Amino acid sequence: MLTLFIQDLQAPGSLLRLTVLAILLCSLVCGIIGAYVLAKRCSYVVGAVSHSLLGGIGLARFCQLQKGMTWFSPMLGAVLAALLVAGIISILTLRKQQREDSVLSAIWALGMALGLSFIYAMPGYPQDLQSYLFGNILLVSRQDLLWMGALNVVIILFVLLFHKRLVCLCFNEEWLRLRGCRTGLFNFLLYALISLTVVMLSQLVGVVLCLALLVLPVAAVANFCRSLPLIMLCGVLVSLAASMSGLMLSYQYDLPTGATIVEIIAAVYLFCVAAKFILGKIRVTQQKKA
Amino acid sequence: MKAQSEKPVIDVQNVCFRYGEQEVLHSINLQVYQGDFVVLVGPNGGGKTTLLRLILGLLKPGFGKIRVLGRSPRRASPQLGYVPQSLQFDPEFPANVLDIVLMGRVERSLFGPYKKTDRQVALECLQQVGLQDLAKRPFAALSGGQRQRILIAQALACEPELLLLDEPNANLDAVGTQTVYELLRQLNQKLTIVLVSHNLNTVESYASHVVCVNHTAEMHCLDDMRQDAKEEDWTRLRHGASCPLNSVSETLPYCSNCVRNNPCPASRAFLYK
Repeated sequence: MLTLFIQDLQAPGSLLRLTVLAILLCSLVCGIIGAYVLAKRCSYVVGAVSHSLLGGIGLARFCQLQKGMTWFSPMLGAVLAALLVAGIISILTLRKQQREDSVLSAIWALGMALGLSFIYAMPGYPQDLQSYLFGNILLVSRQDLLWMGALNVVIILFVLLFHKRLVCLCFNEEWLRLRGCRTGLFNFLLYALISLTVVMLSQLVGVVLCLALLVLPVAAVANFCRSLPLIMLCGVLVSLAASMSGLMLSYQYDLPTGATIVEIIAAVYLFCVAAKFILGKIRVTQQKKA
Repeated sequence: MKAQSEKPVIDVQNVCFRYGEQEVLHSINLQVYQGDFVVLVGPNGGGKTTLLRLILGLLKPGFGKIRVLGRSPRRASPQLGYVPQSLQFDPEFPANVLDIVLMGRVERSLFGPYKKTDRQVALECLQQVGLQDLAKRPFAALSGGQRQRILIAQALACEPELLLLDEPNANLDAVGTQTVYELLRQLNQKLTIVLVSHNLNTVESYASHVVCVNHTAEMHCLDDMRQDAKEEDWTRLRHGASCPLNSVSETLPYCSNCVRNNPCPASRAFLYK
């Protein structure tokens, strides 16, 4: 059935192997960071960050093409935009100085608008815009992969060191502050990690769709798991399985990869919601009988 | 009465606080001593919670001085056990009961997971609130009363010298409230307790002092009032009376030890509204 995919994977020097490796790395952080997003209820932050990346990417492309700054890669632009946005969100929303949803909406729209303006300023319609918006996992380079690997190491180390504080931060920021922790810093660091994860995922499925990849797998498993480490583990497995099957299907049948992956994850999520509902009904009827 | 030489654990001197233009608290003086059970009562918007947050160091006074355990509130906050209102949490938070209680130990070590001793202390605290059997239960599956007791256990896990509670009975029924206050009475043998409450009737028999807070504040020593007040006043206080603050203020004239130059701020609010 998947003969084409398997053939190409086994071919010597196959680029498909890089893609599979990228999916592996993405799924790992997806499950871990996604669990914090779920616990902190900040999936709207993910949306705002991902759309604002386009601003950074647009600026980088503009500088590269128009100003001859070859070192300013779109990836670097995206990382800078992500960190900037993480900083802005954590400063403006800490201590409830501004309404969080207003801040996020502004960033969401402004980032997108800036990106479009930069792209418009370039001669012709840049070919790669499509791949930034909707991702192109099949074009992952070795350099991208190294960068993803490094980010994975950073995120996993940070989580191993500070997991308990991050959980506390998600549960009650004020409480953590009273214990003597510098919550402003940790709040920023958590948002920064979320933003960098978004940059990574945008490679896979593009800035428009990466919200789904970070939010839906953990939301699906949270229907059945009640502890955060378990949600992380199952989240990693679900996103890995969904991304891999999405990649295989799209490769075999020539479908857009990002969209296929997101559709599969959404289907898993809907299935989990329905399963929980039905299991609940069955339990109630059994209790009535007993 | 406390010996005058003893230092207060909470010392609030001439504190004023305003949110923007509106002054919420004016010239507050308050001394809480070791072993006291102090209840802050007053109308909505009177500034009870603001006063609690000032003591915690979550807000800074615009004027005046606050010392907690002889230090600034910000410095003292790790020694304070704070029990926030349980309504403000995500009820679906993915954690079990032990995880929540363990949060009280979060700053005990800088890095890595909780230590074995942290788990032991957390389990002991759960035992103290009588919920040791629920350690593995998801937080989302608890009743309101259980959740409140878990949050008390969380505060106890900090090994505090002072316990501050913000409306612990906000969403509890009579039985739940009773359980929580019985627990607080036991804890009061070792800890100083300050709690914010809407309803004085339910805490009156547990508290040693009542602070009426409404823009200004005045402290009444209930132990002295119990000695001085006539029995029928207390009957009215416990039952019948429609407004708890009113009933307190009516019994206040019998309180010989409260130096009262001004009428109680809370009673003024209720009498001349």
